Amino acid sequence: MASQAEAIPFRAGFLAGDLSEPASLNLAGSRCKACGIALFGQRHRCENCSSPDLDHVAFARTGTVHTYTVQRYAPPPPHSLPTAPWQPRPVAWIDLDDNGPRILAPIACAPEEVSIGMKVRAECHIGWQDAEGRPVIAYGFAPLTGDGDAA
Amino acid sequence: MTRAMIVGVGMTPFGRHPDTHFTQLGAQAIEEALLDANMDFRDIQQAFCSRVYLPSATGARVMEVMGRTGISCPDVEGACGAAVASLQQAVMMVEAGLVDIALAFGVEKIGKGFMPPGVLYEDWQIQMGLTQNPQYWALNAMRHMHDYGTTETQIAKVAVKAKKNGLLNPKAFFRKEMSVEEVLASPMVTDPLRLFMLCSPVDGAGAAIVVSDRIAHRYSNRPIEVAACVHRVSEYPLLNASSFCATPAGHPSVYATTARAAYEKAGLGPEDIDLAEVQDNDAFSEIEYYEELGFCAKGEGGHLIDSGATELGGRIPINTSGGLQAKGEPLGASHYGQIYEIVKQLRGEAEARQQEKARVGLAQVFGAWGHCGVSILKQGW
Repeated sequence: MASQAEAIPFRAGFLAGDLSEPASLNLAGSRCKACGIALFGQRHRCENCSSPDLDHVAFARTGTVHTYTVQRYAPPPPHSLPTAPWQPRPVAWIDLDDNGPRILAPIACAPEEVSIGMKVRAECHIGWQDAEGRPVIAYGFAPLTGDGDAA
Repeated sequence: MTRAMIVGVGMTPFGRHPDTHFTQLGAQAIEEALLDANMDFRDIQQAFCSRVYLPSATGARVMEVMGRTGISCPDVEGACGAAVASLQQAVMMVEAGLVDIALAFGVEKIGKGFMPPGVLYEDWQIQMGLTQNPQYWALNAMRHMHDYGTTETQIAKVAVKAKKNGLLNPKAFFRKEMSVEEVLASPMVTDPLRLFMLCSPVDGAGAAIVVSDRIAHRYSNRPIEVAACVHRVSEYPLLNASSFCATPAGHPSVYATTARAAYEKAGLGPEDIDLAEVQDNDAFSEIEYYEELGFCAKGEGGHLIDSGATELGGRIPINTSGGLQAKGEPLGASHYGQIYEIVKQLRGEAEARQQEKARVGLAQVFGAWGHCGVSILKQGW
């Protein structure tokens, strides 16, 4: 088998772990030592209080739906999503556990399954390929089902 | 300090202008404003142009059409809040006494269909399909319904009101009356928002001529005072807007902070406002602005539309022009469409849309990446 191109994150500083094993990855970013706010993605200064005093951390994989909508139509191209035909897709603001950041993400479930307060779990996967043909690791969420499902 | 007064306003009809070059759209709005002020273009000492999707140096290109008088005319860009930022520049220069006559205008030509996502979003957001603008308002709406019991019918009523007012506005894009039932029967786009609850991006231009109070009487016997013109970028978190920005950092929304700054500058409060134009990209957002601008208590926005207070003739009519839902939204010109309506109302020139008591008006815009602006205008004679 031909050697596979090395995977890259959708954006540097937003994922923590081994990119060759997407299932092992956590969403990542910075936590401000001054104000305590968690920020998606590794930052230069705190977006909330401008302090440069940050810890770079991996966030919890589980979280709660703060609010949601359902994309009834395909978003504007070019995107990496299947469209033939477009399947309505829930998208939510998710509060990550352990005082993590609020993140916008699609949820892999039927529109009638999603609700405010629903527990979800982050899942990373190969989303698309960049211009050099490298697999790009993206994130999404899925409903948190029974015990032993948590990270 | 010198007070800034608006003595001339102009706007093209908002809508589709496939055969008109954008510089012509800009010129058309400026010509109307000049005529309104009985002013010669060569008297203008400073200009600012706002635009979002148009190319670099749009302002200078409009000067090519109007006449190269040698004045400064930079572009000011700030997503849907671009126009308030350009107006603010003009107002500040007049207030500072640097010039006596400034022109502020905005122009947009965007055409039909999806707005190209690359202007506002990063590549990965585009790849992940997180680029449907209305979804951000839908997310706010869903949470508001959860927290306060706001209903789809209340949201539909806002759309119905916008279309009713738009029918009375010859410069609006969408001019057809619609029932609550028709709005609720239109296709769901992004839950809970349906097609007829959303505005369309359109082409258009608007302009305002801002002069010092010292010389305002030369151009108008009914000058309109700019009591406040405030532009802000939101504190953390942005989350593309919403009052739910209040968590987790504890900051109020940028709508509330911008409005507060404008009220403070004007020495007025929400109770002093006779009518307002707000950024109704979607019918739900208008309900949120009722609350965040202080026209009712938090969570009471749905009841305010039910009460009829925001209808023409009501206690605080909102979007008498038809708002963005009826006019459409030419991003860089949008605030000038609002200013045009408020100026006409305060002068008593709003014809079929005239609100009886119209002495103080407010105009508010909000755009991507947290751009927000509030202008407060009052009768200056």
